[in-house]
Amino acid sequence: MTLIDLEQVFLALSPDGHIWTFAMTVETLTPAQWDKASGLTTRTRL
Amino acid sequence: MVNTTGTTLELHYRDPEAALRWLEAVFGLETEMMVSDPEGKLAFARVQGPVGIVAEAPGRPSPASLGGASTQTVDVTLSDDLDAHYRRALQAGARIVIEPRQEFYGATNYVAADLEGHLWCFSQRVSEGGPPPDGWSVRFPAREKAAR
Repeated sequence: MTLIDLEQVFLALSPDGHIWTFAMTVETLTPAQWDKASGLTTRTRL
Repeated sequence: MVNTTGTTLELHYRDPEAALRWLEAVFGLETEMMVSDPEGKLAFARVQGPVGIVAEAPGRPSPASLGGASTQTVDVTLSDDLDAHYRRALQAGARIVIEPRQEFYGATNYVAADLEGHLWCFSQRVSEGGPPPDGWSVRFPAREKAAR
């Protein structure tokens, strides 16, 4: 089963404008757990 | 040095759902995960790589919103049959930016643009590689630093 990392993130710009997202996993959830916590819906296929 | 567990590129698309279908049909990249909001709109997806696929947003445009300009290339290393991958992409309508070529470091690669202009470099290791061309040099700063 695909697991989903619940992350704490921040975004910053490099001098030329590329966006860098730095993330740290704070908890790993199943899709069902993550959907319940976020209100979003996770799928693994188109 | 910062401690990391991985690095993922995130690409912005005007139509991320169409992008996922195109990436699978043309490049063979399977969608591993899709996250949709309560209205059913795709919020985030991940394809093989892994590479993140998200909708464009203010300050995070698709190349299609920048006249086709792209400032990055996604490098994907195939385990085999780069030629077949190239032929499939070409026949499926990918715009080839750099035709297959052999690099001194032992890889063959080609570069293609996707439906919104993001650049993808597909490569395959074919040999141990050789010395760089005259006038070129290769350094490994992290290794040099660790050895000091």
